[in-house]
Amino acid sequence: MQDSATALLIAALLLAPAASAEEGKENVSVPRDLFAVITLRGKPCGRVKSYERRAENDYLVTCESGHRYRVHVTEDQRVVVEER
Amino acid sequence: MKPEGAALVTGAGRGRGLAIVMALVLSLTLACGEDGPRAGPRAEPSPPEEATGGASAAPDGPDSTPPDLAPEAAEPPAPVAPPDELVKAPVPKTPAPAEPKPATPETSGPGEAGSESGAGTASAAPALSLEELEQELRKTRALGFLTRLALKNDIDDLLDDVRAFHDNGDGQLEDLRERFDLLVLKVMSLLQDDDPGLARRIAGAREAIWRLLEDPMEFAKLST
Repeated sequence: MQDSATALLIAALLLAPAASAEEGKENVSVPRDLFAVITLRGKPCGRVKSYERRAENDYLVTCESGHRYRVHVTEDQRVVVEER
Repeated sequence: MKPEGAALVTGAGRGRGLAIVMALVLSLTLACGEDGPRAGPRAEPSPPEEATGGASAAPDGPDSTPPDLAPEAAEPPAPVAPPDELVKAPVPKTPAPAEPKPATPETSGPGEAGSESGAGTASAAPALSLEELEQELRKTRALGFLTRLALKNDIDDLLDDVRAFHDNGDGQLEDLRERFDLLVLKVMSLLQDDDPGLARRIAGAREAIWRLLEDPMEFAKLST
């Protein structure tokens, strides 16, 4: 019972991001989303000062700390944060 | 003489009269003083009592059930006469609203979360809430698209490394546990502001999830 429950939970945890990503009904603003991704990747930022959308899921972000990053999604659906 | 005597008499009379008046005033003030400070303020406060009753009910009243509490709070002041009753009246009223508070889902929430990680005693609760949890994870609006995808990348990477550990003995279990904990913390920190309930549930299920990951048999089942 507990195993199946845990398996369900893990499945939910694993599948939720992708499924939700497809749903695309987020309540999160783009700067906040970008800041979360930059932080998840362990990059310093402080706060997103501005951003420029270069293409779909491709942003050039300027942080309050002065750092600039390119945040984009690769063809194999990986989020990449590159410092500029 | 008479005028003087009369004057003296009248003076003495005035003096006595003043003394009597003073004595009466003093006795009255003393007499009122015993009841006055308490009964007076209490008697006046009958409105104040209503105010306090209203104030005590106000915090709960407007939030919960203003129409119910308002009449109840208004009733106690009705027996204005005995101040003790007025004091007692609001007291039972406050416990009454306090009763629903113990049933706060917040306290039960962590309990469930803690029990999830614990023994199977609460197996029924998590089993019931898992579908909800899955739905919440799918539908939570606390994560943006890029954040979800980045988290999925991290989870996939961790699962790949756990699989490599079980299959080939690559890496160390302690390192995988650290990464797992860090990942859970990241998810929780992302959820805690906009979806604290979900963050709590994930925190409660952390140990159970890790037990599945570290067990080769369970992980194999999960992978298939």
